[in-house]
Amino acid sequence: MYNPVILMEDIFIFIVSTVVGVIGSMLGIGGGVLLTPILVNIFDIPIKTAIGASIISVISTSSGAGSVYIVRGLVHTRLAMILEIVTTLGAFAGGLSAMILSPSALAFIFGGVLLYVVYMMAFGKERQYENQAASKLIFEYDDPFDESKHKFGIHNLSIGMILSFLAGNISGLLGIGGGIIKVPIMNLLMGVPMRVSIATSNFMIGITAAASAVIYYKFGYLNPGIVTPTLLGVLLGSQIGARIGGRVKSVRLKQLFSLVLLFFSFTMFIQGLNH
Amino acid sequence: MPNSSSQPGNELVKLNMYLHHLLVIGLVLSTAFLVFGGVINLASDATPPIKLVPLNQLMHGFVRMDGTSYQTIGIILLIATPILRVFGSFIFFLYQKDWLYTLATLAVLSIILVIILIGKG
Repeated sequence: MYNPVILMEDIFIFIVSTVVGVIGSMLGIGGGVLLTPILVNIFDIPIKTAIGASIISVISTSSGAGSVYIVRGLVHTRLAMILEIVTTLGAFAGGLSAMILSPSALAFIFGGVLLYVVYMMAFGKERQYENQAASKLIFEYDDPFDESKHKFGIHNLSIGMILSFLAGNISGLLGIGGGIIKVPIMNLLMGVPMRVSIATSNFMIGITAAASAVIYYKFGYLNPGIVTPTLLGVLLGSQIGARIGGRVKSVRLKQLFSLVLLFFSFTMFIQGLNH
Repeated sequence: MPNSSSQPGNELVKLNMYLHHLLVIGLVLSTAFLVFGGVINLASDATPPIKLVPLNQLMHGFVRMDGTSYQTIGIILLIATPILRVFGSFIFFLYQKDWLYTLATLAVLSIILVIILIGKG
């Protein structure tokens, strides 16, 4: 029989991952941003292994939520494919870099990205483009809640592609890169309405994470003992979070979440300095 | 040049349903393999694994009911799911003769293929 201490730890990881899954799915953020620092700081898991586990949970979140978004017709597949060409290249570069960089360098970069996330949560706003003069990549969809029909085009595609390469890089490097990076690129820069941004980003992160996961698999950083409880927990948590979704005030939740991320940003910086 | 906003509604709905089922089945299957493999490992006396099983040893492990091999298969299925989803879109664009996006999708698939083939096996 397994060492009972390890079993207990697995159960704790599962429970914590479930909480992360709940919070993540309620905020549209999750996966690596919260998961990796927790695995590294609380469970003392080496950062590359933690990132590997979070990449896998990102794929499961993408597939899980994606199954709903795709049926609602909210995924702008054409835009996603164009952006994914560069994003996947970025993930390739990022994933390989993660193999080469030292754990403390990764921890440092992670701390910096967390600061960016806190900033975006505090100051990022949804943008509405009034003038639909852009004729590229026109997309029609129905709002799932009031059934109103919408149509929009894409602005700033070239800058969007450059930023997507960066997003892919960070994704492959740190195992994150869901809502916090791709959604602002689409919503704030390219004029994609929020619902479609979230659904399309959800589609994209699955592809990017799959590409990075291959690299982590080859280099042996996918640890089944960590991945299994993490994946199952996040999966369960996101199912719960999707259902209790509207009942908690998301402003309060965002504030709490930002504080937690701020705390972890500092712990990651300290991790980076300590090694 | 095909107008990217007009889709024969029916085709798109069918594609979306197909992709929906693909995602759900992929998740269910991979979770099943992961749990099954995990349980086998828990019940055995072996020291807990820290790495997944490499591809070339996977078949052997599958036959021998090795828990870690089953977990590895589960993870591979999970990783394959988004890739299969892209492939589904590729077939769709091809069928629609939407060449630009057929190429774009093919480009993404090729990059992923390169990542899979490069380096260690």
